[in-house]
Amino acid sequence: MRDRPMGEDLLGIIARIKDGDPSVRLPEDGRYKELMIANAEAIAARQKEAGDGPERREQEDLARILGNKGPLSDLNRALAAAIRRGEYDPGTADFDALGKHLWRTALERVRESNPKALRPSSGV
Amino acid sequence: MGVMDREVSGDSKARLRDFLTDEAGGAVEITDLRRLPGGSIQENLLLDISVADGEWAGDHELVLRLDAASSVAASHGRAEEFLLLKEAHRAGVTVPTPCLSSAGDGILGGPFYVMHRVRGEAAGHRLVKQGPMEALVRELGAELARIHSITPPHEVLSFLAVPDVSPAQDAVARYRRYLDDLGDARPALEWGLRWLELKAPGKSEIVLCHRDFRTGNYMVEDGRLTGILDWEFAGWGEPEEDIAWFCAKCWRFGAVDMEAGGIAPRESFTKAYEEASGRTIDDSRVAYWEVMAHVRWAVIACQQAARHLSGLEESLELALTQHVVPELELEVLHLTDGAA
Repeated sequence: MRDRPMGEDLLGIIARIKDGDPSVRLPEDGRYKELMIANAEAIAARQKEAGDGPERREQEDLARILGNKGPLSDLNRALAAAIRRGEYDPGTADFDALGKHLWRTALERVRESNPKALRPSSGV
Repeated sequence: MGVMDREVSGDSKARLRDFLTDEAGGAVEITDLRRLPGGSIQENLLLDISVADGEWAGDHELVLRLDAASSVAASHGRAEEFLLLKEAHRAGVTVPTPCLSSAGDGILGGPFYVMHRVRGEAAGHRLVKQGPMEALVRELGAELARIHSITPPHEVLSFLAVPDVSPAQDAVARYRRYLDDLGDARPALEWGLRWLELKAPGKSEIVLCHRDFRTGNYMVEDGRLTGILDWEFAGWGEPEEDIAWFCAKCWRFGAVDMEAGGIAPRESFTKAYEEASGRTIDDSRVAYWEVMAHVRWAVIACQQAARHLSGLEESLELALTQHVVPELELEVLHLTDGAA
């Protein structure tokens, strides 16, 4: 599930900055500010390009693992609670499936948030 | 509310001058007072003063620290941070020399303290570009050993809770509580926390941990350390927690091959620490705490973004901090053998 604030929200913040909204706090270093804005715009662009495919796949995966359907946020809440209770501990039937699901989901989100982190030199 | 939600008002400045005059025992003139960049949890003000007479006579370049508009759970207030800084200074740690503190709200709207300003560069992304910094990392290893020479029970630091179970189990419970407070479900972090719960090592030696000892939180001038900053997270814990935080991949600022904070090979740092402390580092505990480091930074990043989302402190920087979480989660899964 995408992290909030999502790309569109980031663009909203940038629009307010450009309108001179004083309630949005900004770093004083101009170069740093430009880099932040460029980064936020790039995240928004990558999310737009990816569309709803990643979240749809995540929801399908989760429905299969949990054996029930529902909104993505509810499924993630149920999954988080089950992991904490130890229902997916090493040795349980769905341990590997869950590991694969979490990996895939995190990877999809890194592709949107910071694809540079996936370069071979980053060691992941 | 911190005074720096707005510019320093003339009234605040006058109250500060009067307070400093009382403390210094001589007439004080504030020659410069302005906000310093950085400090998402605390506000840092540059403060230059000129003291006409008395014990402090002369010009002083200082930094004043006070609470930000909103703060992260687990960070100490200014009064506690000032005591930590003083104890570190007493133990011989290279820190900005602490001067004085004010606990009340009457001067700047909240507690603050003043310390001498140290010179140098702190920005991690710039430091890691300067190539391997062997002398610096050896200094840092020895400094961390000095911090860890402070142990409980400790009268001045009695406000710090001594862990009654293992620090690892405490940390797992703490970060779960923070996630619950945030309200969003984070399955990958829960996976990491469950791993950390199952693998938690038992209690070992307890020392003062800085808990934010990393590149970006120390100042460097001409390749040498000038000061260790940001004591607001310090607490009793095990030495390997700080070593792991310093070496964790998320604090190498992209210089991932330089495992000691992005500035040098890991062995240079750990060897200097072991020589100065007389301890032998438990590598398996360090590996454990490196998983914790990524979980912890992810939780703090979520807390920082929540400050933006709450509307209390709207900031593009805080909002973007949420977007480091996916790569931290990926690293947690990587380190815990999540199905790669």
